[in-house]
Order: sequence, then structure tokens, then C-alpha cells
Amino acid sequence: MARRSSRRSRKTPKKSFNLSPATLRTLAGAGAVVLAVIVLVQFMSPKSPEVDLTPTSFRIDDYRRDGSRFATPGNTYVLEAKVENIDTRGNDKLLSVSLPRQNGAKTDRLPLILLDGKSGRVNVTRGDTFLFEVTCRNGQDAEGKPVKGILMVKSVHSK
Amino acid sequence: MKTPLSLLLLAAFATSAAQAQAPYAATTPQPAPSPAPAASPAPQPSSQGGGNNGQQNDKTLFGNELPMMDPSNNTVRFQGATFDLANNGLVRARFEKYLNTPPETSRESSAYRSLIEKMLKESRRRNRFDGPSLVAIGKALYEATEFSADGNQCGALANAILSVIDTNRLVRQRVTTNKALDQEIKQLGRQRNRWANQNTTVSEKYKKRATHNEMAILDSTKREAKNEAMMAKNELANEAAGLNAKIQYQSLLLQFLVQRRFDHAVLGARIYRLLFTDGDSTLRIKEGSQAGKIFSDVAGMPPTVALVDSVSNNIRRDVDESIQAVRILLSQDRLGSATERMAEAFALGEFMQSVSTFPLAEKQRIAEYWQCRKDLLAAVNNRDYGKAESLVERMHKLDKAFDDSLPMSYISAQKNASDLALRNAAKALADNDDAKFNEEIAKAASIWPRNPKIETSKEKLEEFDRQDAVKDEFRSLLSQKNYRFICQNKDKYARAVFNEPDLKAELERVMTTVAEIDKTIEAIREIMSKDTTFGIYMAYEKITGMVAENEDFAADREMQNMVLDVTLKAQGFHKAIEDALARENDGEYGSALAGYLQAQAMYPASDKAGEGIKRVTDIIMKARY
Repeated sequence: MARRSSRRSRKTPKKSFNLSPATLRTLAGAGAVVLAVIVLVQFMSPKSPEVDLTPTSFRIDDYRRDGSRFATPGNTYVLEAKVENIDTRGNDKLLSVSLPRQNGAKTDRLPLILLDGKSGRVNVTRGDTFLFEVTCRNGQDAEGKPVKGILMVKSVHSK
Repeated sequence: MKTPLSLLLLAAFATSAAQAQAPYAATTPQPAPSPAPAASPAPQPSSQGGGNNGQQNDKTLFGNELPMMDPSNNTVRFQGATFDLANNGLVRARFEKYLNTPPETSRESSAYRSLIEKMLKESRRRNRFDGPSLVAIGKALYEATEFSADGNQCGALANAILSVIDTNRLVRQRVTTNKALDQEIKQLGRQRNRWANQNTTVSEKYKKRATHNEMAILDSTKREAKNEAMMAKNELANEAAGLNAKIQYQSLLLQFLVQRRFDHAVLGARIYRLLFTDGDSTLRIKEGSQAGKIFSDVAGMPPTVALVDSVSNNIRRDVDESIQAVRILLSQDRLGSATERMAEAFALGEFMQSVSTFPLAEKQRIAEYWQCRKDLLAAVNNRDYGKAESLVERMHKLDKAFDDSLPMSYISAQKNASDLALRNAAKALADNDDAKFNEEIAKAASIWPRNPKIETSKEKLEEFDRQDAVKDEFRSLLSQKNYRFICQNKDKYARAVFNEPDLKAELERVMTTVAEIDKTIEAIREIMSKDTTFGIYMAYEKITGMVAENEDFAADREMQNMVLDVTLKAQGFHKAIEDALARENDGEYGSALAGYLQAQAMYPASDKAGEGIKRVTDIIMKARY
């Protein structure tokens, strides 16, 4: 799957107030400072790549048959899914999400591992639909045995 | 029958058979029926009195040659052996032959009986019974000898009479001779007297005559002595001849008596007084002999020829009365009593007219009852109590007055004893006690060999033997866990293993297991019918869980069918779970978790899905990526 990115321009709304010159100067100075800070912060913070939140095609039947096939490095999938259940394990969560019907199936459930902090500011709640950027990974348990085909949430976006 | 004289005459019943079969009777006597070895004494058809016991050491009549009958218990003693008159083979054979022989009503028999009656009638002429009567009887006797029914008895009597007549003639001749000798002696005496008188005169003139007279006297004396000796000899010969003739004649009379030729005995006794006119009719029986005892026992007096006449007449009358009684009893269908009276009449008067002319049809009725009685004795002796019982019933039908209490009591006791032994055998079989079983079976068979229940017991034993194969089959089915088949044939296997505690416990476990399976299947059906949404999944989880946990459940055919049915109905859920398990086993935990979640979505309360999710989630959350 091709990864697509987009760039969005940030616009600052323009406002005009009738203030005194001193106040205006103060405000101007403060504004300049803020602007400078913002620019600085913007400049200094790492720039995240632009995410294409268009839901990608994800064949659940294929995943259930052989999940590790989806664990190609670098592949990311955007899934629009409804959170059916949340199983909290410490700071991490196991999300059981349902995708729209595929192949006439009444219910298709997928497990998503939402590690701490991956939801960003999005409050993932049960019953709501989100855009999940997920990646499929293989891991190892404590004994070194493979744990294959795990869908990890990379980011969550409200719809 | 009631007097000792009757004893003698009853003994004659067996005399003819004994005389003809004496060697057999003496060497191989057939004793009175003996009871079965393992049974109490068999009932005798006649009462068993103790009257014979006192005669055990007595010698039989006439030098141990003749049998002795004890009518108190219908037995005859002969040469130390006791014969049951009602059961003795010889007597029985003669009686049976009589019962199945047509009556002697032929012209020849009638002519013979007419001759006998004619002679008896002639002998009854009291005052005119003399020489002409004797001549007429003698002619009739020789005429009767020609008939086969007589058995040459009349000839023997005629010869005996002739013998006595000849003896008497010789005696008379001797008497005449003696009279002549006596006359001569008297004449010689008179002559000697004359010669002696002449010699009284002594003279030379008569000297020569005197010498001649003396010589003559001497010769006369010698002749007289010779005549006297001759007379004495003749008298002695007469006395001996007379005594011998009496003894021979009396012996013949007794022979007629013991041979039950009572007509001949009566005739001979009446002729006796014509032949022996000396008035001495005392029977010459050795003092202290059995015959002497019997005759003297009658009245304490010496037996006489008249007693033979009296006894014979009594017996003839008794036989005739018995035959009359038989006719009456037969008319009343009292065959038992009729048979006994007929046996008595036959025993005493086999050759009498009333017996020999008895109708065949009536005898056949008695013969049937007699045969039943004989068969009953044989059945009891052979311990065939089933047959004995049917014979008693038959006899009861033939004779309404037949008292079956004794034989039936005995038969019932024996049958019960045999059945009891069989019950003990069955108990021994149940206890697996082979030795006791064999002992009781043998006991039952010895008491009643033809007990039909013995066959049943044998079948049980064979079935018991077959149980080993059934036990093996049961063990095989157990190893195959084919409990359903065992349950369907539980009676068969229960019989086989009832004496094997381990197998019996296994059978009970099988029965309990099958009952649980059936109960579970019923519960599954109820679950499916009550909850149409999740019932099928609930049933699937429950039944597959049970099958997985219980091998007995998994092996049951009904349960397998139920599992198949439920699995087909919950195919999607089943596939989700099975796929998830497969992925889990492959380490495809993401796919497995998706499968479990899929299953849980179908049936939220699924334990399988819940457990799978928990299990896989734990692995995933603890893994490093």
C-alpha cells in the first residue's frame, strides 16, 4: 500500500480591538513574544509526518487466517472502527473494535493494542467510532516465543 | 383266609408256581418292593403287618418244600425268601394271565365241570353212598381224566382208590387165609386131644398106637405153630398194608389241598370212609411238623380226613363268596377292593368254576386297575414320581373310593425333597459354589431322577458356563466404552456378572453413566428449545465441554450424534473457536484473538471465547515488540 501524506497550512485568525496606545504596545509586545515562542516551539519541535486518514482496505478474513502476513515493516493501516470493548491492562488497553460489514459478516471484530500515550488527546471510549492508524507487528514473549500478527495502534483520530 | 388252615391253603396259591419254578424262586427270589435307595420306604399296596416276623425261623410245610403264605401282609415265605403276593413276579404273571384269558366256557370245560358235579353229588348220598356209588365215581373219574382242565388229578384219585381197593382185597385174602389156618389149628388141637386121650390107657396092646399118637401129636403141634406164625405174618402184613394205603391216600388228599384242587379233595375225603372202614380217619402227619401244627391249631385235636373235607368246602364257599363280592364291587366301580377280592379268590380257587368262568370284560376292568397298580409300584420303585402321580390320578378315576392319601403323601414328600435340593443348587450356583451345586443336583436327581426341574437347572448351569463368554464380551464392550450396547442388553450382562463384584460395579457405573448421558442430552435439547438466540451456542459449549472432560461421554454414540447435531447448528461459532485455537497454537495470537473476539461477538457469554481472549491477551500484553 502506498503511503500518502498531506500538508496543511496553519492560519491565525485576525482580530482588531480599539485599545490605548500603551495597551496596544503592551499587547503588541506580548503578542510578539507569544508569536516568537510559538514560532520557536514550532520550529524546535519534531515535525510529525502528515497522516492520510483515509481508511484503507483491510481484509479481516485474511487477517484471522494469517495475521503475521500483515506485519510487513512500515505498513500502516487506517481503520475506521467502532470500539466495542476496552480491556485495560495497566496503562495499556486492548480494544475490541468492529469494522463495517465485510463479505456479509454480521460482526467482524479486531483486537487493537493501544499502548499508553498512543491515543494522544483522543479519549477512546466504548461505543464511539474512531480512525485508527495501526501497524501490524510481531513480537516475543518472555520465553522468546513469537507473538505474531499483533495490531498496534499508532494513532487515534476522532472521526 | 382268617384261620391257620387258610394259611395252608393260601400257601397252595404259590405251590404250583413254586413247584414249577422252585429253582428260580429259591435262587433269585423277588423280594417285596424295596424303597428307593435315597428315599424312605415306598408305600406298599397292601398293609404291612408284623405277623410274618414270628415265622422267620419256622420251617415250611412238608420238609421245607412248600411255601407259606401270610395273608396278614399278602406275603408268601418260601425257602427263606419272602414274596409279596401282590407283587411277586410269578404270582403276578399268573394272575395277569388269568385276567387276560377268556373264561373257560367251552363245551369241554362244561362237560368236565358236569362230571365233577356229578361225582360230588354222588358222594353226597349219605346212606346210599356205597359200592355202586364208588363204582360210578370211579368211572366218572377215569372219564374226567380225559379232559385237559383236570390235569390228570382225577386219574390220580382213581388210581389211589384202586390201589386201596387192591390193598383191601389182599387184606381180605390174608384174613380168609388166617381163618382157614385158625380152623386147621383148632382141628389139630381137637385131634391132639383125641390122640392124647387114647394114650391114657397103658397097655402093650396099644403101645404101638401110643407111639404113633405121640408122633402125630408132635407133628400137629409143629403144624399149629407154623399156622400161627403164618397168621401172625398175615396180620402184620395186613396192618402194614392198611396203614400204607391210608398214608398214600391221605397224602393225595393233602396234595389236592395244596394244589387247590378242592373238588378232588372233597371227593377223595368222602370216598375215604368207603375205602377205610376201620373208622380211623386220623391224618398221618408227623408230630411236630408244620402240617401237624396247622391242623392241630384248628381245634386242638388230631387232624382227620373229615377236616380236609371241611376245609375244602370252606374254601370253596369262601372263593364263591369272593367272586360274588367282586361282582358287587365292580358294579359299584370300586375297582381297588374288587381287585383285592379277585386276587384272593384267584389265589385260593384258581381251578374253581366260579373263578375260571368269570367274564372276560369284567376281568379286563380289573386288569386295567391291576396294571395301574403294578405300574405305580414300578414307578415308585424307579422313583419316577411324575408318572406315579399320574397313575395315582388314573387309579382315582378308575376307583372313586381309592384312598390316594398314602401314595400322594409319599410322592409329594419326595418331589418336595428333590425340589428343595434344586433350590439349594440354585443358591449354590448364585454363590458360585460349584461343589455344593453338584452335590445338591446329585441329591435332587437321586431322589427324583426324572424331575423336570433338573433340566431347567442344567440349562441354568449351561447358561452359567456361557456366562464366561458373556463376561468376556462385557469386558470387551467396557474397553470399547460401548456403554450404550451394554445398557441395551443390561439383563444379559447383569445375569453374567452378578457374582463378580468388580464387573457388577462396572455394570452399575455404566448404567449410571448412560443415564447421565441421556439426562445431559435431554438438557441440551431443552436449552436449544428455550433460547433461540444463544441456546445453540450455550448447548455447543456445554456439550463439547462435557465430551472433552469425560471420555465416557465422548465415546457414547448418542452423545456423538448430539454433538454432531449441535456443532452443525453452531457451525459459525464452532469454526471461530476452532480457528482461533489453531491460530493460538501457531503463535498467531493476533489472529487467534480476532477469532475469539469474533466468537464472543456471536455469543457474549461464551466461556471458550472469554477464556481464549484472556489467555491470548495476557500473552500479547506481556510480549515485547
